[in-house]
Amino acid sequence: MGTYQLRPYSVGTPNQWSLCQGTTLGVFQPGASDSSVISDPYYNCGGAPGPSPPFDITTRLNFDLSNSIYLDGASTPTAFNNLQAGFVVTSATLYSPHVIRSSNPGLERIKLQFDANTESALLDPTSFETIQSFVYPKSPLPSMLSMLGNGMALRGTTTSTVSSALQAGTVPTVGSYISGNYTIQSFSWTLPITASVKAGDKFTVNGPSNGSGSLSHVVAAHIQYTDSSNKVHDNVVLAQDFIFQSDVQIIFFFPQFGNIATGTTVYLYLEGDNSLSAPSATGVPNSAIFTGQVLAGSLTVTFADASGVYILTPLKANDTIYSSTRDGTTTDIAIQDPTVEFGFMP
Amino acid sequence: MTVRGHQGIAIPAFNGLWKRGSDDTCPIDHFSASRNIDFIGESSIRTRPGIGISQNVSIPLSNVKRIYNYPTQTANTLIVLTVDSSGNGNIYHVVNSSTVYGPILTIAGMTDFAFIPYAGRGYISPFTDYSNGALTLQSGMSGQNLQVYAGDGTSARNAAGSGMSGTMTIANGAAGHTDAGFKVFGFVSQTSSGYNAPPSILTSFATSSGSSVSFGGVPTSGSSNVVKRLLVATKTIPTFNGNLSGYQFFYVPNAVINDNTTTALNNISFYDSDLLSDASHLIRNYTTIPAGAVLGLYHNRLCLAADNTDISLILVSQPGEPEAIDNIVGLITVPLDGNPISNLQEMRDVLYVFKRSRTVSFDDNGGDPSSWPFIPVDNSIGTCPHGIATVLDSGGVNVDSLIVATYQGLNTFNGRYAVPELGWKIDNYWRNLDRNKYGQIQVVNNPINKKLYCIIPNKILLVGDYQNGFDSKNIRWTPWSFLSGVNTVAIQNTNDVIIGADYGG
Repeated sequence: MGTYQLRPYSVGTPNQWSLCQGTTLGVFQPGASDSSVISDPYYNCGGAPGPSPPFDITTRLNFDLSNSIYLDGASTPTAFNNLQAGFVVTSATLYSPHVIRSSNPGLERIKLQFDANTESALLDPTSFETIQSFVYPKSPLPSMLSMLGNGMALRGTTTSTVSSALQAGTVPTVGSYISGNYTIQSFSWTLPITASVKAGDKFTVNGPSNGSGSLSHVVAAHIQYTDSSNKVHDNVVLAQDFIFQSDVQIIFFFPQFGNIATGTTVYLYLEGDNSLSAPSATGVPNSAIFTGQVLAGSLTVTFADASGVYILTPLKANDTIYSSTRDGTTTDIAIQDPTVEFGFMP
Repeated sequence: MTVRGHQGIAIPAFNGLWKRGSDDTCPIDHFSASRNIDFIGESSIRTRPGIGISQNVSIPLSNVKRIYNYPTQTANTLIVLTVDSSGNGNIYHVVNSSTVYGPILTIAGMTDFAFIPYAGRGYISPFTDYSNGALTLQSGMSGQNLQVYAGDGTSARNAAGSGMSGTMTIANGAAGHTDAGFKVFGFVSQTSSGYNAPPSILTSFATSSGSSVSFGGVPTSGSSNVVKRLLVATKTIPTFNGNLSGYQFFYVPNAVINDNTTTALNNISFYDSDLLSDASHLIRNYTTIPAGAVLGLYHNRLCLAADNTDISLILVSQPGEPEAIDNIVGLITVPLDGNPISNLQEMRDVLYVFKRSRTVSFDDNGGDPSSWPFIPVDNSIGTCPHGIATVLDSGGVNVDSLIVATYQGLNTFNGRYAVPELGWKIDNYWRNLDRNKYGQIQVVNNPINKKLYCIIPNKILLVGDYQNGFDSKNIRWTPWSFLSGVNTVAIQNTNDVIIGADYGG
C-alpha cells in the first residue's frame, strides 16, 4: 500500500501555448511537480490575442512509461516495467492548479479529463486560481498502463460572444498531475505461453496448485497495449466467456486485439471481484482483497486480420474467414469448441 | 439404468443457457455454460452453423464497425462502416458479393452512424461516443450533418440545402392573364432527392391583367444536385411593407425550369386563385441538418434526434419530405434528464422515444410536431441506439410488439415492458455487460427461423431460439463466438444472417 503520482512528460498538439496567437511562452517542463508551479503560478499570452472564438481546444498531457511514475513521494521516477508484480491502482485524482485568471474572460469554460471519455463537469468559475481536482468517477479503476496511456487533459471552450481581441487567459498544464493510492496484490500466476499469441488461441493462466491464486475470483481478463499515439487499447474477455475457470486455472479464447504489428508487446491484466481471495488448500487464510486490475504478465502477439463481412451458412461445419493477407483468399478454421455444461446433478 | 444403485437421470430437453443466481440453481434441463451450439427442434442441439465470406472480391472490407440493410428498388443491399488505420470512418455500399461502391462517405473519427432508407435513397447520420461523468453515451458528431446517399455509388452529400443567390429580371410577357397588382416572385431550387430549398432571388413586380409574366437572368444554383427550379409568388399585395420575405409564397402552377442551366422562364399566366400550394414553410427549414445519433420514420416523416448540442431534441420532417424540417414547429423536446435520446420507433400509430432509462411517446394529432401530445410511458427503462430489434430487413415492429435491449435485459414492449423480461434466464450474463458499452449492442429478429441475434459488448453473438415459445421461460439462449469478435449483425434477403467483425480494440 502506498501513494503514487503521475507527472506529465510531454504535451500534445495543440498545446497550451497554441491558445495564444503567434506567441510561444516557455518550454514544457517534463515531470514538473505542483510545487514548481506554485512559485510560477501560470503562463499567459503576454498580451497576445487569444484564438478566434468560439473554440474548443483540448490540451492533452502525455505520460511516459519510463519517466512519469513517482512512488511514495520519491523524487525520481519509477519505470512502468519496474513496477512490482501485482501493482494495482486503488484511487486516482486529477489535480490542476490555477486553471485560469478570473479577471480574463477569454477562456470561460474548463473541464478536466482523464481519458477523452472521462471528463469532469465544468469547473467552478468562482474558484479559479485554486487547485482544481477531479476524482476518477468510474469503477473499476483503470490499470496503471491505462492511466499512463490515457494521459490527462484540460479542455477549454469559449463562446462566440467573447471578443477575439481578448487574451485567451492561462492554461496551466505545467504542474497538473494525477495522484492516488496503490496496493500490491501478488497471486503468483504463471503464463505457459507468452510469445506469438494470436486471436483465437486458447490462452491459459495458471495459479498455484494449492488454489491460493484465487483465479476463481477473476471477473475479466484485459489485454492492453498503448499504440504509437499513446492511446490505450483494452480488450476485455468477461469471465462468463471463459472456456474454463477454477481456483488454479483459467482458459479463454484470446480475443482479436487490434491492428498492431506482429511482435508487439501487450499486457494481460486480471480483474478481481472485490472479494476475499481464496485461502490456500493447506488451510492458510488469505485476507487479500482481489480488487482492481492486476498485472499478470506481458505477451508478444501475432496479428491475423480476420475482420470483414460474413454470412452464417446453415449446416456449414466450419468457419471460413478471409485470409489476413486480404487478397481475396480464405482460410477454413474449426468452430470454437462447441460446448455445453450442465448445472448441479442431484 | 442404474449404476451402483443410483437411478439414472433422464434429461428430457435442452433448454439453453441458464445464468441466473448461482450455478447450483441451474435447472437440470438447462446449461450452466454453453458455447457455439444450435437448437434442433424442441429438444436437440448441434454445433452452430459455420460462417462463410460474404464478399467475393480481391480486397474485402476490413475492420467492419456497423452494417445496415439498405433495400433499394431492385435489391436488398448493405451499407457498411469501416474504420481505417488513420481513424477515418468510411461508409461503403455493398450491392452484392462482388460489387462494392465507395467509400461513399468518409469522416474522421466516425465510429458509428444511424441510417434510414427512404424511397431508394439512404439517409446517413454520423455519430460517436461522448462522456457525461462516468457514463459513455452517444450523440451526433459535432460539426457534421445529415447526409443523403443516392444509392448509385456517388458520394453522399449534405441533406437539404440553401436557396440560390443572385438577381433576376421580371417583365410582362406575351398576352396572357394575371390579377393585376404588386407581387413578390422567387424561385425554389429542387435537388435530386426532392428537397425544395427556401424561396430565394425574391424580386417584386407589378403584373398587368392582360399580360403573362416572363423571368430573365434566372440564376443557376452552384450545387450540382439541383435539378429543377420552381417559380413561387405571393398573391397580390395591396400595400407592400418593404419586406420581400415577409409574405406568404405559393408555387405557381406549371412554372418550372426543369434543369439547372436555363436562365429564362417566359410567359407565365396565373390568377391569385390558382395559388394553392403553400411554399412559405420552406423559409423556416433547416438548410443543413445537424447529425444525430438516432434516425427513424413516423407517419412518413423522418425523425432525427440527439444532435451534438441538443441531445433531447427531435427534428421531425414534413410528411414525405425527409429533408424538409421546420426549425420552429418541426421540433419536439423530450423532458431533459441529462441523457440523450437513444432510439425511436413507431408502433401502433404512436411514436415511442427512448433514452437510456426512460421511455416516452408522442401521438400525431394532425398538427405540427411541436403540438403533438407527450405521454410518459416508463421512467426507468429505455434502450441504446441499436437496441430495438429490427425485424428481418425492415423496421422494429413484429406481431405488434418490439424487442428492446434494456439495462434490465432483453424485453418485449407492446406499450409497456413485459415482466419477466425475455432474458430472464440469463439475467446474470446480461448484467455483467459493461453499461458504458451498450452502444455496441445491436439486435435483429428473424421470425422465420424464430431466432433473435444480439451483438453484445464482449463481441459475442447472443442467440435466442424461440421455436418452443416466445416468452421468458421457453426461449433458449446460447452465445456464439467467432475467431474475430463480431460487432454488428443484419438480416438480408429474408433469411441470410450477415455479421461484421472488426480488429478488436
